[in-house]
Amino acid sequence: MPHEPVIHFQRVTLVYPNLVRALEDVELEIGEGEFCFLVGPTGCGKSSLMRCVYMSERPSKGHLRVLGRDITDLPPSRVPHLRRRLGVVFQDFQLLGYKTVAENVAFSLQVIGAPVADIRRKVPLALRMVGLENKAKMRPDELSGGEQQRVAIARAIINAPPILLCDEPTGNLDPDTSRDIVRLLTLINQRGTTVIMATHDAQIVNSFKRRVVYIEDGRVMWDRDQGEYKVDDEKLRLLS
Amino acid sequence: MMRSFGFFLEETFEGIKRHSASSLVTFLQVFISLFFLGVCLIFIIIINHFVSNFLNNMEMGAFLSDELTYEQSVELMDVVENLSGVRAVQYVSKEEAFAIMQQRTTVDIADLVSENPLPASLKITVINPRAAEELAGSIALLEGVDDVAYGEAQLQSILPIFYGLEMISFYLAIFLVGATLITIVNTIRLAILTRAKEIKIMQLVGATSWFIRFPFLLEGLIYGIGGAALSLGLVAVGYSLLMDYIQNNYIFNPWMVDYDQMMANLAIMMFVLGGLIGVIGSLLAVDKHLKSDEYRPSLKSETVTS
Repeated sequence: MPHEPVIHFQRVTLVYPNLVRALEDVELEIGEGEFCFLVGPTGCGKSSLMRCVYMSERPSKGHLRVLGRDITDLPPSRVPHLRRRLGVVFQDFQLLGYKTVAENVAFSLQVIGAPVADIRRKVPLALRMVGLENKAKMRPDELSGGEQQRVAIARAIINAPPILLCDEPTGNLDPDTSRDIVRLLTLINQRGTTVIMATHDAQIVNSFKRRVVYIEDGRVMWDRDQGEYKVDDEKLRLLS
Repeated sequence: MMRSFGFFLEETFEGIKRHSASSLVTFLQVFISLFFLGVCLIFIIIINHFVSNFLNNMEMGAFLSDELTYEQSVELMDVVENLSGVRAVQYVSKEEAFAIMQQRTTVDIADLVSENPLPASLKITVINPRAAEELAGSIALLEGVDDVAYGEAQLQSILPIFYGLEMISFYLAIFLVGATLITIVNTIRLAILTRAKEIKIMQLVGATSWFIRFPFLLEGLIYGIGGAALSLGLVAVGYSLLMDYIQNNYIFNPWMVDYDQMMANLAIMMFVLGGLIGVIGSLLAVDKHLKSDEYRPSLKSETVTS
């Protein structure tokens, strides 16, 4: 592992209240500045793994360290402060339709009580980073899917988080737009942010040649640098 | 927190405007609940007014010996005035007593009696009617006092009714406040469901629970105060019409409370209760929502060992 781990799963098991075992004895380290694909079929546990990192689910067993802190027993009152150091991007963008692009991006700074001057300075920078500086005053429904995802990415990175978690960010996008989004994520990664992207899009994974962690039935089956992700025809048919 | 106050205000009014239909329904629910609370409060105030009026003005008479001179009577009056449980004492001479009796009848009493048979007395206003018996006992022991009367039989029968009425109105008020609170909590919970996405985003980007709660608390306060103002206005009009009707149809009515006094009491109660119920209702509603999405403890190792 070339870098200090910013995320460290130590034999983590996650069982939901309905007794579904989402993660099973997961052992995984992700180093600072890495770009890592989490792959595997739908329902394999990728999203659950992400949810543990952004503290939406607490591991049932084992330990999980995020940014040097064991979050397994973190009290709920401390969660917001650690979440400010994580950016999260979802498949369905999670944008507020009644706010403009700039307001959506500013929202994540406003709700943590950032000074107005900071917000005014950072919003245009984030929008420029994702290539939407000319669409600041538009509303999400006036944008394409790819552009909406860029807004969500701008909102996630505006606070310069050390970790960016992307849960199927290209799931709703066409192949070309998906490629653009992942290019943008690699650009963000080059600036020092650790990026973890859950996907089951083999083409994307194979064309970007990054670390690949394959999960199935809640277990890490294999973990390779510049790995190849092959989905057999049957699985591909099921996925489609 | 103060730095974000402008943001809270903006979010609160923006939220009300954006969800205008659910905001209107919430406001109407709060208004209707507070209106019923206001009507019941009027009855509670009237009952309390009547009971306390009766209890605060309860009087007893200490009849004085005819041998007592006026100076001795005044000395005795001072002694009674200093007894605990006595609010005020007034001396009623034999002549005044006769005149009062004469006023109460159309027959000329002077024709019936050769001399004034009525004794001079002390008219004593009592602080606590419950302690009347004890007070009457100590006054009766004073030299120069022949007898003490305070309508003990009537008092014994009416006091439990009054205290019962006071208790009923107290519990009724608590019940109504509770019922209004439950209505408002549920109404605001429904309103919050329409904003679940905003709350989720706020949580994800690291807003603290208080930061998420605050715009909802402001909104609850607006509903509470606004609902209280509107229902107070309606109740005020209703009470004024009721007073006009009673004044035009009945000469004497000990139940009615002066309009200004009633409205002042009611306004304080309605605004304080409305505001508190709005804020507490919102707090309970938001907390229930936040709790459902909290970083809660998951199933522990003993449950998950395979």
